[in-house]
Amino acid sequence: MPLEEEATSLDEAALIAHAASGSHDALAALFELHSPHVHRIAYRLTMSADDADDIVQDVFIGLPEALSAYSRTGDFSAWLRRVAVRTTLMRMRATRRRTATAIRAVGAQDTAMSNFMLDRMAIATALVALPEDLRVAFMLRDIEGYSHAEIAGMVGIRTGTAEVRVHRARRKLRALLGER
Amino acid sequence: MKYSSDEEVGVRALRDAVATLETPPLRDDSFSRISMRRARGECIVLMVADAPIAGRVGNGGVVAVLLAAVAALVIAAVVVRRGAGASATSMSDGVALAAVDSACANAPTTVRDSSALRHLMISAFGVPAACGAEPGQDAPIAFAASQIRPGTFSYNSLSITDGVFTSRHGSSAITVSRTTWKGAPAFLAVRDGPLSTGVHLDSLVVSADGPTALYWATTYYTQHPRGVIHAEFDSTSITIARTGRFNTAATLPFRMKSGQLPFGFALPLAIPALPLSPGWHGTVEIAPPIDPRAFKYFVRPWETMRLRVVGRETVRVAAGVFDCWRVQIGDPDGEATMWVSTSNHLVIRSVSISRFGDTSFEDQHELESARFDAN
Repeated sequence: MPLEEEATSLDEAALIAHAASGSHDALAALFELHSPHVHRIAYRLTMSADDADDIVQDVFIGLPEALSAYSRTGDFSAWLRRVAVRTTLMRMRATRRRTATAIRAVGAQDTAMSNFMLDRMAIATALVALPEDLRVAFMLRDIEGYSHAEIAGMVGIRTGTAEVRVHRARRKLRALLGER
Repeated sequence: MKYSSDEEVGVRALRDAVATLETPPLRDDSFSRISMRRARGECIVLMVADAPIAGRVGNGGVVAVLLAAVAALVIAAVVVRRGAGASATSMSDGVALAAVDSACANAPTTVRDSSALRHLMISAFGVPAACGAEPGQDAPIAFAASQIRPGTFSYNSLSITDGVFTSRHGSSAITVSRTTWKGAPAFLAVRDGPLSTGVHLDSLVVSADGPTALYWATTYYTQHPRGVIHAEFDSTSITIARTGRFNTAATLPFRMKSGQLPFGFALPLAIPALPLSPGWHGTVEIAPPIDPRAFKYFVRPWETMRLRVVGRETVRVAAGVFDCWRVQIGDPDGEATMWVSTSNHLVIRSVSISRFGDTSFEDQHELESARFDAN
C-alpha cells in the first residue's frame, strides 16, 4: 500500500502503536505528520538549518523506543514537541556551537527587495544576535507558548530566572530591531 | 511579572513578527537518512521525562582524556564533518583558517594545498605533520608484534552526554590479516562500520615488525556539507580529496614514525602488542582527530597515551568473560580506563569521561564478538 494511503488509513494511535513495535512505515507516517513541527521548533531554538536537520534525525531515530514512555492518552503532538525541545536543548548544550547561520548583509543588490523581506531579514538577524539562553526563553514562551514554570523545568533554571530571561529577550530584541 | 499595556502591544508585535519567519525546508532525504542510521543500529535515547537539562553534572577537574582507540574512531567522524565545513564562511572557521596560515608560515616545507585542506590536515594530525615537518627521532616503543593475532573483532559503543542523553552506535568491525607490503611481511587492518555520523571504510597496513604505518586509506561521507572525503597515506605523503559540494584535492608531505597510528587503529594493532604485566607503564602515540577550533591543541600533533596497569579484573561483555589487565589512561586521577585481556591481548572494554565546561561526555566501548583466524 502506498505510504500516503496507509498513513491516512490508520489513525494516529495505531500509527504510534505500530511505530513503537518497530514498523518502518508507521515511523515514516509519523515523520510525515510531525517532522515539520519538530523541525520548526528546532530551527527556532537554534537558528541553524543544519542543526535543525540533525535534531529532526535524532528525534525520529530515537522515537520508536521513546514511545514506550508515551502515555497514549495525552496529546501526542504536544508530547513530541516537548521531546523535541529537550533534544534541542541537550544538543545545544552538548555542541556549545554558536549559530553559524549566515545572514548576508543587505547590499546594493538588495535594494529591490520588498520591505517585507527586509523586515524578515532584520528579525532573523536579531534572533541570531540574541544570546542563546535569551533566545531559547523567548521562543519557548512567546512563540511556543510554554509557561515560565514549564520553561524553568525544561531548561533547569528557576521560574523567576525564566521570567527574567523572557523579559530581557523581549527588551533586547526590540532594541536590536529598533537599531536597524 | 507585570507589563504595561504598551509592553503587551510590543510583545504581541514582536511575536507576530517572529511568527512570519519561514523555517528553511527540511532536507528531502531526511527520512532516508533516519532509516539508514536506524538500520545501522544507531539508537538515541530521548529525554522524555520532565527532568531539567542543566545542573546534572557534578564539579570536577577538566580531564584531558587521551582517547582510547575506538573513542577516537567515533570522534573522527565529527571532526571530519567539522573539517569538511571549513570552507563555509562562519566566523569561527575564518579564525581557524587564519590560525592555520599562521601556524604553517614557518614550516620547513612548502605545502601545496589550499588553506582549507591544510585546515583539515591540521585538524586531524596537528601542525608539524600537516606543514610537512619530520617526526621526532624518539626510540621506537617496544612492541611484541607476535601478540597481534589475525581475526575479526566487533565493538559496540555508547555515548552519554551529561549522564542522560544516550546514543548507542552500531557495531564497528575490525579485521586483521597477514599480508605482504612491497615484499615485506605486514599486517592489514580493515575497519568497517558506522561511526556516529556517516558510513566509513578505512584500512591500514603496518609492518609485521611493529606498528609502523606503511599505508592507509580512509573514506568518510559527510553531512555538512554533503560530500565525501578520501584520504590516502603512502609512506611519505598523504593525499586528501574532497568531492561533493567542494571538489578539491591535494598531496602533502606526511611522515609517521613507529607506533604512530591514525585514528582508531591503536586498538587492534598497538595495544595488543604491548607487554602488559603488573605495574607496567608506558606510552603509545596516536594521531587523534582534533577539533580544528581547539587552537591550544595545535602544538600537539600526536597524542601521547600514557598507560599504566593498575590491576587485574574479570570483565563480562557480549563477547564473553575475560581475565583482564585494568589499564589507566592518562593521569592517575584521570577518568579513562581500558581493560585488556591477559590471554588474547584484545581491548575488551574502555570507558572515558571528558568534560567541556559543565557538560560531561562519556564514551563506552565493548567487545561484541571476536573471531580469530586459524593459523
